[in-house]
Amino acid sequence: MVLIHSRQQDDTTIEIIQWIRSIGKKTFRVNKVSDLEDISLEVSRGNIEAVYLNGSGMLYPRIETTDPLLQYHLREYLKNDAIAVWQYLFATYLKNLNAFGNLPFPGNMLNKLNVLEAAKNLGLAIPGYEIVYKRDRMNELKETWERIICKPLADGVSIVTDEVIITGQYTEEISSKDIAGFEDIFSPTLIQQLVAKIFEIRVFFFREKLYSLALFSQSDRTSQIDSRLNNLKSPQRQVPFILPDELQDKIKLLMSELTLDYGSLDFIVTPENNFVFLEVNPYGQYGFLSKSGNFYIEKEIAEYLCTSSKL
Amino acid sequence: MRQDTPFKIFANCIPVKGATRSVFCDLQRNKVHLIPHALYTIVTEHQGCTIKQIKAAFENKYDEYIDEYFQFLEGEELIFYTEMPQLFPDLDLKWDYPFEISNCILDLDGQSNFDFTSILLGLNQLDCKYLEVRGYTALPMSVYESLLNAAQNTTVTSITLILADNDDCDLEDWENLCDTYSRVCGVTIHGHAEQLSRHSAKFSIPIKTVTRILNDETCCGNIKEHYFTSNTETFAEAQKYNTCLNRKISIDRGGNIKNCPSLPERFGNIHSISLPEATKQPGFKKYWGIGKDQIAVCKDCEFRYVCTDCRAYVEEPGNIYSKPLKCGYDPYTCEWVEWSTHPMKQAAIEHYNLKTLC
Repeated sequence: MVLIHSRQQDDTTIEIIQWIRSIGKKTFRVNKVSDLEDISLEVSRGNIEAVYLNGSGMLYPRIETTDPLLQYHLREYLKNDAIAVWQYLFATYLKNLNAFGNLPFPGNMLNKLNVLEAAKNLGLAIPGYEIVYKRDRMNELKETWERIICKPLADGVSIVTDEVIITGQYTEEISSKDIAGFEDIFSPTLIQQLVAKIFEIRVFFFREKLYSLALFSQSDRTSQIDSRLNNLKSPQRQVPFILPDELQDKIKLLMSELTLDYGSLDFIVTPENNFVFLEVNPYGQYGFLSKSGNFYIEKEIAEYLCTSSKL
Repeated sequence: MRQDTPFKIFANCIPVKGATRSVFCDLQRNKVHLIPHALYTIVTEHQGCTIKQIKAAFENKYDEYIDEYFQFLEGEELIFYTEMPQLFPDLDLKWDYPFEISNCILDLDGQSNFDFTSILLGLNQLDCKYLEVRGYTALPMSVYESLLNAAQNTTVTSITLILADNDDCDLEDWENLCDTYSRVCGVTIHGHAEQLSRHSAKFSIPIKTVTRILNDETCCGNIKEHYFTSNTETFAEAQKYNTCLNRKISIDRGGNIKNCPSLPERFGNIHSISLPEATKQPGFKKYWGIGKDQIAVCKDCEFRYVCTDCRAYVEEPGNIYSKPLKCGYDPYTCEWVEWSTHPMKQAAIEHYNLKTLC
């Protein structure tokens, strides 16, 4: 059977499960901390043959208390304990199985800055970037690069309390007016040159295979800076794309250097037809890519999970 | 307009040639654009050329028309300009589905005395995902509740209800049903006094009433423009399969297991044979591979890959490759006419004994 851990309402996971079932294998879906015991049981019986992980989705028990701070800390404590068990299972019993995906735990997170450096060393073009601490420097960069964007250094912010809601995961352009409103000194902020683009490329990489889409976000203003902000009425054009051979080789090298056998990569194609690397997302959703390109990636992943493990 | 940069069609916008005119099927935005053959020729034979080159190829006699065509293509975002057209492949039109059965139609009337638990068990064994329930007579709410209860914990995750109006139930009751059973994804009540539409409060499930009365399965099989679906899944499936019958199973009012309730072939009765067993009977998949390219007239129609189909009511009963009877479109004249009064169709209408021509 294939062990499945993903977000509960994920359509892509349902398709994966369907393909696995069509091959004649069983699935074992886990989401709760209490499921860990069942995993250990199935592991000891030698029943787990492969693992599919997609995004977060582990549900942690809710502690009945009126104090939100206490609630938060208790959850973190229980969560970290559960993560320790997961990590142990993956370091031991589940280690040699065919697997798709990565566990969404802090130890597995990619550092964006390290990735950019690794890409640069492989000869991939990357946008100018700098970690900025002062308003004056930000003004200088704005002048040099003309248009700049701000990206989260890690995962962005998502704070919801009784008093405030602060969320921000998207990339945003920073105007001179914005800068004028900033403090003189601020916490480290990732600033990148806004690279002019004619279209974006989203690449899904899985075990040396590449599936690519060109995303034409420029025609529609809502998606110009961040293509995830898509217009529902006339959605941005998404069509299959063939990466030049040299770029394919560099992507494979980069993924091998980052020890990832799965992930989504973003590129920009400039008006001069240069390919500029933006980032790797080791938890990227590939369902939309599979559908837009009619790639049937879900079927390929399921087939891989149902072939006998490496051992 | 960029006269000097090669143009390329977006891969999910596919031109299709008909007998008299062509269409552009925008599979991403679910639109079908009518275009003349001349434009079909330009986009298919001159793809990768610049507008300037195309104009020259026509000896600059049609520059104005060509500019007008490209204004349209740009306006609808059907094409783009690029110096690297070789990096944009065509859309792969392969089609696949994990299981033999994706959809089931279950017909009910006052005589249908079905064991819903065993039906749903069969559908679960087939990994069937979609169920459409069509009720021709008013049935008590408890019938639908027992059906929906039987669907819990099965692979049947999307259930559409098309039911006869029931004096004992008002819209509130249907709304409650939708919000109690999360697998219900739409309700249509036919034979209602007025046309209403709303969404359920909790799950926002669309509920509508129509005045039209559905007496039995002979109401099905209509071909209309608003049934067209322009998306990759349908377009790809239509290349090789029958988009109405492929991967479908059904149970008619009498409990007969069929590919479609309107078709004559029976593969056993639900009281004596299970659904998975029925699908193994010879001939069960007889119609699945009849794509539009094999059907008379349809194969010349520009709408062939975005259209529905019907093999139960055809113009020449006995010829399973003839045009759907209930299609009023003629791809040779490009006209839509009322099919039911068409003199050439009267013999077939009589053959099928279609009393209500809806």
